[in-house]
Amino acid sequence: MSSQVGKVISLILQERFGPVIEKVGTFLFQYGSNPLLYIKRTTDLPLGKVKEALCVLIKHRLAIFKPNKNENIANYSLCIENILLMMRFPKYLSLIKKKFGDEPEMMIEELLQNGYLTTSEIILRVAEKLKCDVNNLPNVRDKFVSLIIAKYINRLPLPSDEEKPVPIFGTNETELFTLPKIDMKKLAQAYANIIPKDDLGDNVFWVVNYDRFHQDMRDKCLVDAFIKRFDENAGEFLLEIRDIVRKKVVYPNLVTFFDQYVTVIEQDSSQIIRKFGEASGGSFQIHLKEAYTQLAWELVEQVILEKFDSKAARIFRLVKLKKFVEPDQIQQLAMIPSKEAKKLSYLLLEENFLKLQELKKPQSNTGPNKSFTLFYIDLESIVRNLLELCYKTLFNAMTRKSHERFVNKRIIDKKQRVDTIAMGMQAQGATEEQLADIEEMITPPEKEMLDKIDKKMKKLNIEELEIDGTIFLLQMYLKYQ
Amino acid sequence: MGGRGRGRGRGGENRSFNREQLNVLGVTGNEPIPTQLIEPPPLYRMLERKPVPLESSKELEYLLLLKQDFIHHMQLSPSYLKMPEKKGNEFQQEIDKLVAKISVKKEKYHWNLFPSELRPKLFAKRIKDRSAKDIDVAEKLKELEELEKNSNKTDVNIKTEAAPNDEDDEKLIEEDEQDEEMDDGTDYANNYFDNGEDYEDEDDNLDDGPIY
Repeated sequence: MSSQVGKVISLILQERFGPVIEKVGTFLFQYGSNPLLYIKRTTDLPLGKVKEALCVLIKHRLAIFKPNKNENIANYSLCIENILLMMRFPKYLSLIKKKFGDEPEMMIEELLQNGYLTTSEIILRVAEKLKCDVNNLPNVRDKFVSLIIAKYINRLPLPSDEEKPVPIFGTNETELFTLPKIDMKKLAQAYANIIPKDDLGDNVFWVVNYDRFHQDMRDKCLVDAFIKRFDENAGEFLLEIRDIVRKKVVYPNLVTFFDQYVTVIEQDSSQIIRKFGEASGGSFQIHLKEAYTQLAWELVEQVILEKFDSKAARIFRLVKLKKFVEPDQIQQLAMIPSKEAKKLSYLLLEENFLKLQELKKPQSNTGPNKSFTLFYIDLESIVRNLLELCYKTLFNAMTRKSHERFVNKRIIDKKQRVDTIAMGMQAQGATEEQLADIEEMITPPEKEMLDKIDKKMKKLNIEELEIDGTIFLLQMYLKYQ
Repeated sequence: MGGRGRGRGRGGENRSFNREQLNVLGVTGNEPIPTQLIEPPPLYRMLERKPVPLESSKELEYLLLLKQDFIHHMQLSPSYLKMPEKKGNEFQQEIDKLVAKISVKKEKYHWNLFPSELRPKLFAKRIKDRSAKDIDVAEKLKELEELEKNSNKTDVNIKTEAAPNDEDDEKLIEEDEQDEEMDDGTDYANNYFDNGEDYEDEDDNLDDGPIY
C-alpha cells in the first residue's frame, strides 16, 4: 500500500471517527502491527483514549488483533481494505434497497453504523425505528433471515477459548451462514419492555458480508456495459444467463429474438460471452476475466482521451492494436504529423501509459550499431498506476472538502447553532413566528454563502462516489488477473 | 600533439549521437533554445483541460444523501472520539457548554470479543473488588495458602474467575462513569516511567495488582 492510500485512510477516519482515532489509525498504518503501549507512546495520547480508539476500530472491523508472544497482550493492526470500503457504504445500502426493500436496508444500515450486532439487537432496533406493532415482529425477523440466506450478512466468528486474555477467533466457514435460533416470545417481551433487552442472552453477532455486495456490483457493472453496447434486452440477456431464469412477461422482445441476440452477442468482438458447447441446444459462458479486461482497456482509453486529448488516444489505440510499434510507424499509421506524434508518444511514455523496449543487434565491429526502439503497453501496470491516481484524486477532493470546512468554519458553526436552537424550540412547542425569528438570525448574504458552500460540498462528495466506482472497476480487473 | 592518439574517437565521432539518431529522438536543430527562467514556477500547474462535467442523476442524489447521513450519524455517535480537552480552555459560547453536556453517552462493548487489556481500568478494578468481597473467610485462607505455593497462578485465577461476570459488571461501571472521566484527565496514579527493559511484562502494570 502506498503512502497515498495512507493519506486517504487518515482522512476517511478523521471524517467519520474524529481526530483521536485518526491519529491511532495513521500510526498503525505507518508502523504496522504494534502492541498497545507502543501505540500510546508514539501517539502521545492518554492511555484511556488509545484504548477507546482501539475498541472503536475493532468494533467496526477496521482493526484486528493477534496475541503477542506474551499471551497477555495483543498486537493490533489496521484493516486497510475495510477502511477504504467505507467509501462504498452508500452503494451497498442502495443496492439492498433495490433488491430487498426498506427494512433490510435499515438492517444493513444499522450494521454498517455499529460494526456488529446481535440478532435481537438488529430486529428490535429496526422494529423500533419503524414503530411497528408487536405482531409485526415475525415479519421483520423473516426479512432478517432472508438477508442471511442470501448471504449478505454473516456471523462473526466467536473466540474459541474464552479463558485467554487475548481472544483468538475460530474460522469455521461452514457455520458462517447458519440461521440463529430466535426466541420470538422473549423478543416480543423485550420489545414491549417487559424484560430488559440485555437479558436475551444473545451471543450470535452479525456483520456485513462485503464480498456478497461486490458480487452484485460486479454483475451490475457488466449488465450496464451490455446495455450500453447493445440494448436493454442484451443486458437482460446477460442476467438471464446468470440466473437461468426466463422472465417472459417483462422482456417480450428477448424471447422473440432470442436466437438473434445469442448470435449477435456471441459474434461481438468483445468475446465476453462464448459458446461453450453444442450440447442441449448450445451452452454459453461469461468470461469475467475477459469482460473486466475489456472494461479496463476502455477505461484507460477514456482516461487518456480526457488527459491528453484524442490524438494521444489514437496513438494509444494504435499501439494496443499492433502490440509493438516503432516510433516511425506511429506517425505513419496514426496519420499525425511527425513532430506531434513524437511529442505525444513521449508524453505517454513519461506518464507511464506506454513502455519502451529496446532491441539491439549483436555487436558488429564495423559501422554504427543499429538498434530498434519499440513502444508497447503493459495494461496491468497502467491499471496499478491509475489506481494510485484515483487515490490521489480522492485525497485531493477530501482535502479540499476539509479546507472549505475550515475556511468557512464560523458560518457553518453558526448555522449549526441556529439549527440546534430551532430544533430545541420546536421540541418545546414554539410557534411558527418564533421559529421564523430564529431562522432570521442568518442574514441573506450568509444564506447565499451557505448555499454556495453546500453546492461545493455536494460536488466534491459526488466526485468521491464516482472515483470509488472507478476504483471498484480497477480492483475487479486486478482480481481477475 | 602527443595527446591525439589517446582518445578512441576523433573529431565528430566524439559525440554520443550522430545527427540521424538525434533526429529519430525528435531533437532537431532549429528549435529555439529556452530562455532563462526568472520567476519561480506557479504553485499549482495550469489546468490544461477542463474536467468532464459531473452527471447528476436521481440515483446519485440518493447515494449522496446516504453518504451524508452516514457521516452525520458517525459524527454524533459515541464512536466519534474528540481530542482530550486542554485545561483552561473555557467554552467560548453558552451553546458549546450545552453541546458538551449532551454527548456523554459511551459505547457499549461485548468485552469477551476484545483483548482484556483494552477494558477500562475501573472495570478491571471492579472485578477484583467484587471477587474479593464475595469470597468468604475459609476460602480466602485456602487461597492464601495456595498463594504461598505459587504466587503467579492466583493472579491468573482471579482474573479468569471474574471474566464471566462481565455483563453484571457493566451496570456498575455506568454508575461510576463520572469517576472514570476524571481518571482520564489526571493520571498521577499511573507510573509512566519505563526503562525499556520489562516491555514484555508491561501489561501487568496497567492494572493495580490483585488484592490478596
